[in-house]
Amino acid sequence: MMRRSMIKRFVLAVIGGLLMANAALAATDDEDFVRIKANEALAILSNDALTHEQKTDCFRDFVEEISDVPRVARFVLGKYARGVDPVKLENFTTVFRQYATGVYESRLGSFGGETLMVTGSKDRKPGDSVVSTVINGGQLAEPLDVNWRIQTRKGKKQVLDVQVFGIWLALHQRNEITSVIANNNGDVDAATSILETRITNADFGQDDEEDEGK
Amino acid sequence: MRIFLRIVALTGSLIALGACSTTNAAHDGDPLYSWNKSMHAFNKGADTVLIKPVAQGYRAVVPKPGRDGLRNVLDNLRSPIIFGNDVLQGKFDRAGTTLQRFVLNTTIGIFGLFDVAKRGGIEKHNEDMGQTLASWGVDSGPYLVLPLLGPSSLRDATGFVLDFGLEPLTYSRFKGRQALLIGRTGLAGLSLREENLEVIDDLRATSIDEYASIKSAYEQFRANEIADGEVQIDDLPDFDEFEDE
Repeated sequence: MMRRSMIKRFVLAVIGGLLMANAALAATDDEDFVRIKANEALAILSNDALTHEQKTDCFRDFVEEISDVPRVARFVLGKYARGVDPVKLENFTTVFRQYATGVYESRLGSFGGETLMVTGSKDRKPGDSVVSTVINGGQLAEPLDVNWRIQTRKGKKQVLDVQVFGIWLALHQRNEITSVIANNNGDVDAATSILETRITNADFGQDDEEDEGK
Repeated sequence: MRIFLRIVALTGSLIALGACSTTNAAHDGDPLYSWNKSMHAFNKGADTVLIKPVAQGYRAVVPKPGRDGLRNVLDNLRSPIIFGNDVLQGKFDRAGTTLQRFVLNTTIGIFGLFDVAKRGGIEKHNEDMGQTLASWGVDSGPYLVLPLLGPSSLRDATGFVLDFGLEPLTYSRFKGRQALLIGRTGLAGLSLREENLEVIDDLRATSIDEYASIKSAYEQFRANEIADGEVQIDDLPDFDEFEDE
């Protein structure tokens, strides 16, 4: 009886050890993924040989490669994603993609020369982790902490959310978009319409910069 | 005693505010929605006609080194509050850091004008009674927009008042003390607004629902401050939370 109990403990310890080793490997994998991909992005942004249009195209392809925009679009709809009409969802996803890339593209000129260092990672559950980084240099006056939410699906790693200044961007967009939908009696089209208006007006704040260093 | 009565009065009125909240299914996570939306509109108006122009004027008139110097002095004057809250949270290492910063910046940094501690690698951090209450397990309570002060919560607004209990000026007795306290609070607000001119413009330009955007940013920022910048991995939402079955 005692021997059986010891064997059971041994087997459990081995399984536990394997799981921990796997988690550690997954975290290291995710850290490598962020290190490589974020540095690719920084290289695009600081490449002076590229025109603004070329940078924009490269960056758009890059975002499509490392992220899962339809999944993020569904996430930002929050509870309104459940049972949403597929046509409305498709319309929203198309417009959300344009809006999100528009916001980032309007700021591409603000970057260049930054370097990124991975400082650690935490596993939330298998295939879901957060990688912590610090970005230095370039136009940054102070080091900037940036955390990356990485999920692995069907063997492919993707960035699903990014935290800057303590704010998770996709979560922030979800709070805004669900508020718009709530104010319009649960109509997903209302959010699509507001995003379309923003894109048409191309009002992403890029021309409102003030000279802080004055 | 007068301070204590003021704290009780403000806390009482905040609780009363909670009691007369309206219920709206569309804003079930925001029981004070009606009050908050009105205050948000009031603050935006005040910012447009007064606060932002003054902050822009301040930037135009005072060069960056002068603005940095004032910000450093105001930060240094907050050290007793930060230190008190470090201790109340049992974070004695951080309390030591705050004390070191205060001594270095007050002496070598000429009354806090220069942040010499930071240059020596002793980074600043922020603590307040709202964070202390959170560390003691007090829930944030409803989101609350305060007139002129902006986004807060029932807990953080209570903490804001309680912080005056850790402020040395509260216990001093000299003519002009209240004017000094009010002036300092006003200057801190002006400095903060000037520092965030671009951030707020940016937030307004990119947000599709400004009220919801500020609320979301405030709540996430505070949660991050309470966690001292550590990612709270278990608090993150599932990405597939609302996927169809």
